[in-house]
Amino acid sequence: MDLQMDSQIAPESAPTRPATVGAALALWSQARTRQAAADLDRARIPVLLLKGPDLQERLYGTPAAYPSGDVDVLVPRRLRARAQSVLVRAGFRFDPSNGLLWRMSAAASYERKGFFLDLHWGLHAGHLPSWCFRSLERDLWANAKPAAHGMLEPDLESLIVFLAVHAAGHRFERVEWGENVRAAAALHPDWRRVGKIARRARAVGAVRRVMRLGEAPAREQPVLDGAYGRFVSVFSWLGRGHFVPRSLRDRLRDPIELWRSGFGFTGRGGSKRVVGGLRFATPRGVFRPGRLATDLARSVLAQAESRTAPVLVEVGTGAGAVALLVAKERPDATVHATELSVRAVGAAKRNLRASGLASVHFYEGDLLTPLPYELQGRVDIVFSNLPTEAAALTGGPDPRVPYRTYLGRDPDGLGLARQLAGRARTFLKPGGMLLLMLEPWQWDVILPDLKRLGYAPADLQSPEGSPFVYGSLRLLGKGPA
Amino acid sequence: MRYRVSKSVLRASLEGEEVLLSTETDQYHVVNATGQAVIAEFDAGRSLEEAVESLVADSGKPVDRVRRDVTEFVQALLSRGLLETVDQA
Repeated sequence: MDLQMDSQIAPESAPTRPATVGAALALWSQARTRQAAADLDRARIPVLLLKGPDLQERLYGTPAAYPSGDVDVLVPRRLRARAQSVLVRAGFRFDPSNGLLWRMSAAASYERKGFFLDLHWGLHAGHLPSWCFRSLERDLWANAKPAAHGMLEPDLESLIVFLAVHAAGHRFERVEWGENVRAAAALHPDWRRVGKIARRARAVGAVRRVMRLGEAPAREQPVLDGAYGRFVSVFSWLGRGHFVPRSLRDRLRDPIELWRSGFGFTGRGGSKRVVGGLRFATPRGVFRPGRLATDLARSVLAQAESRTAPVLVEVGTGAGAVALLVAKERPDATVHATELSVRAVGAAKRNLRASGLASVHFYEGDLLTPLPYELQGRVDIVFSNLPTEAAALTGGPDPRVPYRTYLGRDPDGLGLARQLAGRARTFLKPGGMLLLMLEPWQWDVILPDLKRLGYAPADLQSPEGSPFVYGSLRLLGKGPA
Repeated sequence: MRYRVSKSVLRASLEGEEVLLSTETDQYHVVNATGQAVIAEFDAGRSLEEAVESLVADSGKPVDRVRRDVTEFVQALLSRGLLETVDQA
């Protein structure tokens, strides 16, 4: 009889099925959620599960229905301070990416060895503050019941309204959030109760949109119903300073947050080095270019060899090394490079001036968001060395990684790569390439996702001595999102 | 003898295999489809002998061989704390 059991999952020992690694990572996240909930429970703080692998288990029968690093729990408002102190005592760290408005959202993120827990003491959706959702919050608590996982879980009807508000509030950013609502709807809720709760929460429109559309609406609509919803939406948009351009907000916030992470206000005292014949100055809090930069530049150049005057896009350029090295070797290419860190973009622009190159453009912002509209459908190659550290396997992010460069929360480290692959389809021309560098086992995990998005693997190579595999994928067609 | 998966074990069932995480040791384990079928028998409240009968009926393999393999498999699960006997609980 073929009865087999492996005692561990070692992603580096091929062949490991992608689904197996995905399941192991989901269990990792599930175990840590329960551990944190038990810590809170010991301090007599009730914990209500909002999102995470245990919710997936409830809705789909498995904690690994889709890859996600989202774990959200709700505690009573009056116990917020105690809950925060319990988490800190248990070894959690207040995540600096909470920004300045976390109190208004009644939520804060905590991190312990690569596991992120979003602690809520109220609900919020998108930029709407938590006081808008008091009624829904009361409903979630009122009918919550203890579940086998040790936390409380809301009744199905309140859960549906919450999930719909969440999906609509975050503009249907992830397809799975809409799927969650429909999965909950398939568990035979009492629709009359759903209607009552949604009316009390002024979220009838949100529930209908999720159930009817199954995807993002063509235009942005207020999360809450009627004139009240429009008023709250405009009020909170103004209150949160969203009328101030994002780049300016980042410019104000970035030095403060880098300082909080120990990299100083100004970044002075960084380093200077010559890579590939170009001189790079990098302030503190920005990655120094090195071997990875030259390897990635070489891969990009190889892929761009047969293309005339290619348009190239780098995501997460840091101090601009790869973009500048590529531009130096291919004077006919135009390189556009994005970077989230204001400090890094400043360094990249200074390095550009020092290089004397003219065909490189740096933009500040998330993934492909800051790119000019005119580039849509015109890009030959999108390439990136995104943070892809798998927290579940490494025990957490490297503490030396500067703040605002480590943003992947998915336990397999591939959350950002998945987002980039989805969004890159808008910018790549047919036959355009996506070039990523990942650990060997991560390719096994992500390839099925990339194929679903319409990519076909073209070339997977590992430079000698490199722990990474540089993979290029050709965009064949725009598959389902 | 009846068994069940230990309470400290988290599980994710896939097509053709099952991943188990022992929260006591933080160790992952993967069992193949046959192992998954054995565990499913225990989940359904069946005894080891009933599980053997069911597997013999499904696989057509000799009963002695199936009993030996299942017993070894159960011992491996017990030694890793993944399974517990029902009357122990």
